[in-house]
Amino acid sequence: MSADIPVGDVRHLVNPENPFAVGKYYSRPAPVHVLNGMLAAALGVGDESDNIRRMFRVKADRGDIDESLFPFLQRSDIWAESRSEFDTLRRDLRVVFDPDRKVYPTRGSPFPVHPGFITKDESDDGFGPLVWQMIKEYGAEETTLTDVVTNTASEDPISVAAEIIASKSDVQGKRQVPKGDNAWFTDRGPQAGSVLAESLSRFIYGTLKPKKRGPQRLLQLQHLGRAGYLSTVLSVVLGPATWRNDEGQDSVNEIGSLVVWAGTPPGDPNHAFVKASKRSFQDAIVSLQEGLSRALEEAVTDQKVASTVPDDEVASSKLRAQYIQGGGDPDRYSRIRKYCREAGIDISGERLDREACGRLVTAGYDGSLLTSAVRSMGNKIGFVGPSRGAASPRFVCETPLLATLVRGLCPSKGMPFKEFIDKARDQLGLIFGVGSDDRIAERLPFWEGGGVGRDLLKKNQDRLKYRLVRSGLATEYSDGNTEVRYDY
Amino acid sequence: MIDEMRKFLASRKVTEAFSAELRETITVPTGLESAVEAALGKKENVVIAGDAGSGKTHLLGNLVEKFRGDGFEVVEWEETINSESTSDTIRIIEDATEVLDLLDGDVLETSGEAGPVAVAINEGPLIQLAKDYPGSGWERALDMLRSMQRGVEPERQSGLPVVFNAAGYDPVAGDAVASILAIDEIHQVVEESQCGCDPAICPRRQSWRLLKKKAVRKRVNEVVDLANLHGQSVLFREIWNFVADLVLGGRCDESPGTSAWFWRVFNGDSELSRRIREAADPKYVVYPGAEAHLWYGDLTTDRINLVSELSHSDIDPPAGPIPYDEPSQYEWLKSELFFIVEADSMVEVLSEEVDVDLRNAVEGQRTEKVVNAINRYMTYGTSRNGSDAHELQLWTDLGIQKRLERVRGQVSLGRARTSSFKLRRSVAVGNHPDRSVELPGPRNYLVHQGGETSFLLTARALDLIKGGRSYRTSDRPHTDMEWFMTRFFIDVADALPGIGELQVLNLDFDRMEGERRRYSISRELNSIAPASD
Repeated sequence: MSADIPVGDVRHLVNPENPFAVGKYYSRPAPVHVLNGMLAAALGVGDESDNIRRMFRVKADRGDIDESLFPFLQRSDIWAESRSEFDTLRRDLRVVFDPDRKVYPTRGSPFPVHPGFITKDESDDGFGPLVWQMIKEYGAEETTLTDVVTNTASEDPISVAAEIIASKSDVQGKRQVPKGDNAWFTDRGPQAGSVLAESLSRFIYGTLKPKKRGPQRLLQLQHLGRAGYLSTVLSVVLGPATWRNDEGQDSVNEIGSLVVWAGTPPGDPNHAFVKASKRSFQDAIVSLQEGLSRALEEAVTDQKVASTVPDDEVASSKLRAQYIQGGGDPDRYSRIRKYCREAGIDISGERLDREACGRLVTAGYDGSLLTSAVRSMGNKIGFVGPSRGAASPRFVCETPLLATLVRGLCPSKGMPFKEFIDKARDQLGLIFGVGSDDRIAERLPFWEGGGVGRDLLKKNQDRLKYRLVRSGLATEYSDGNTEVRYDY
Repeated sequence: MIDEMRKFLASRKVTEAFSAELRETITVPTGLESAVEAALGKKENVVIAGDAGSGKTHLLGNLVEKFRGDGFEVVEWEETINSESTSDTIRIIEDATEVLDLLDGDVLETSGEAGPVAVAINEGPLIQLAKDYPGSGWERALDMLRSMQRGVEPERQSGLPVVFNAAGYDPVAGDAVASILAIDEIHQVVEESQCGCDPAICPRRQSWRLLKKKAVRKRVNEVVDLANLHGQSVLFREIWNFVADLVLGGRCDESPGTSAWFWRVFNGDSELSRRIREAADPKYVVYPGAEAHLWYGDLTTDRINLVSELSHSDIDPPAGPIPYDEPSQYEWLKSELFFIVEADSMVEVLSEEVDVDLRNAVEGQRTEKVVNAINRYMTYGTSRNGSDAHELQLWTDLGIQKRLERVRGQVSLGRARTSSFKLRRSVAVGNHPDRSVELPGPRNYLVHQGGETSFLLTARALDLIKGGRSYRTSDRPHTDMEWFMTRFFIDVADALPGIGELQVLNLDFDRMEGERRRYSISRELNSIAPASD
């Protein structure tokens, strides 16, 4: 769908405060792209990663590959003698190292099982380095990421093969983290932004501990990928909301509450709880727009312009400064002026009001586009469903994502199920059930009343318990206690 | 005693309310008692975990009586806190929840001077004590309990308590239901039923005659075993509630009489009855060649073979053909037949409803068959049946993104010999000094001997494995099970030495074919080459 102002332009406007805003091609950033981007910013790029990428693409001509970088090709005559054998090898390596099919002829992100595989691919739309910037602000250390990617001493065949392939690819040249001094997750952002960022960082960090060796490391990398991507989606959805109401929130659900259907996704569309989850999704989109508008209003107000600017051009000049600060091309600002003129948005005077900012935001980020964007991104890790069709999107939790939640939220000794419900709510804003908060149903506007909501939440909670037990992520004891635990 | 039994059946079945006489009457042999007795006799500390419905308090109470009768001093543990006890004193904690505040990390520490401790404790308080006292006997008891619940044999170590998982014990495997139904006092309660019917036509009393036959009682026990299909334990309290409903539930004046025990097995008000009905419904059982005879009330036909203890005079045929507008009468009749028709096993009777092939393999400990089935499942049925029975291939893929289209292939983390796996049931006792003591639980696991990892083989999982792996991403039950399986494979791979081989499976779903390629890989030689066959 086309926006009234190109999405890219509105993105530039909101970018300084909300760098996790989606771009025009919102369906492009895939989880492995974001993981790759995060590692590229934290550790650096494999200097021969482009050659490795071409190795995985049979369609790339053999001549495009610098075979001197792959000593194993000289160890066996078969690779030189038989083109079909060589192509079969490349096809098989792609099955192993590009399971998400995100390696393309000229760019791409293989599964980063070895640091030499990390590419400079920007298909993540900048989200990967942003996630790194965010978690680095809250105590993450490069060594933690280094361990999970570089500990290739395992004897599992995937790690061994990766080490052989990447034997001549060293890591260097970190990907630049975009400047975002005013972003919601920095110390110049709102207090709620710090709460959200710190929570997401702890979640991502939680997937990396305890350190894993051997094939367990591969699973840990998958969890890191999912956790990083979920954090991206939550940053897209909740990041702007941190600007809305900064009144000393202590937990993420005070910033935004996302009601998640805990049964088998995507759920019966006529089920009362699924309907509540749909409303929650819609509410999140509205809140996202309002947050962007408010942040833009405040940011434009705070922009500094030369004292010589006439009074009736101050607002426009500030808007232009905001646009440029967000990475916009100064020569293209005229498109925004033109739109404002045609749409009757008053940017004369000294100040841009909330309504004007809101109209500017929705001109690029209308509800339909944001819904499609969040749906597309969330669906990639099983956080939003259904995958396709006309049915309204809602928050769900596919089993691999559920496992990542357990991995990231639970301590290694496990935790009672009720505490898990509470932690998902407080740390990530995900509402699965009542937990220990009996009043939560009354605070949420997604059902007819507190009593109805409480009943729905309790049943949803039971569904989650059942799925956790069935997936081996929880143990239900005969006395009714249930323990959520990842490692046994 | 009959009145007391009737009151007991109608009650909440709390063990503290029993008289000693009633306790003795309702006690059925399980093997748990002798195992606990043996452990305490060897001065080992004993932890009995599980809730009251699992029979742990009842078990401990019986033992107290026995040990006192044998001349031992048995005292409540809290009496010994500030006083001395000798090594011949058995200290008991009948319910740890009631004295939780008095318990510390040293309760289970072995001391030559003090006698053994026997404690009954719910799992929740045990988890709490383990957290509060890391490194203590509580924590080690909890670790053992967790291993037992996963079918993994806990490490034996002297100085650690003997742990009984009362909730994990399978009373049905020990024929507990059949034993309970043989209790004379229960038969007398039925005979003296207060329903007000003429005993000659009372459906409750007339149907109960069948339960005087051992073969029929055994059949009931087998039917209750169906409730284990999903790997959920059947507790003693559930069994007693089930029996109580058979004895007291339903109405004689309905048509057909819902008080008939065989009707209530599947349609009663107890939780166990509900679970049995989920697993098997007698109305779907087919009796080839006999259905028409049944409908017209001809139970003497030679197309119906009764179990050997029964003759046709033992059963009440309906008076003439069943009216077409009363199909429930037909279902009622089929319920009765369910228990009296000749068959090698209940599973044979239910062969239309339950997939028996893999289930029999699990029961028969045929590991190769199970491994072969998992291999076929993980390769989407593209491997030849029977070709992969000798080793389990640990297929995986490294995808992060949710699958929205068919996979192109997968990679193996290695292969583990079938001989390194065992089919085990969950166990109800851990660290017993007598290695021959084995009390099986209701769950079946595929256990890898090299590490402490296991894969739960519920009936549902076996159905999914047998039914084949779906490449449709919308088939969620597969997703949940496959996550469990992935974890299992990773843990198995973790325990394997490197094999120097990379195996890849390319899949063509249009032709339902899979092409496997193996490569020799060597880090030391920095080489990848096609593997020689």
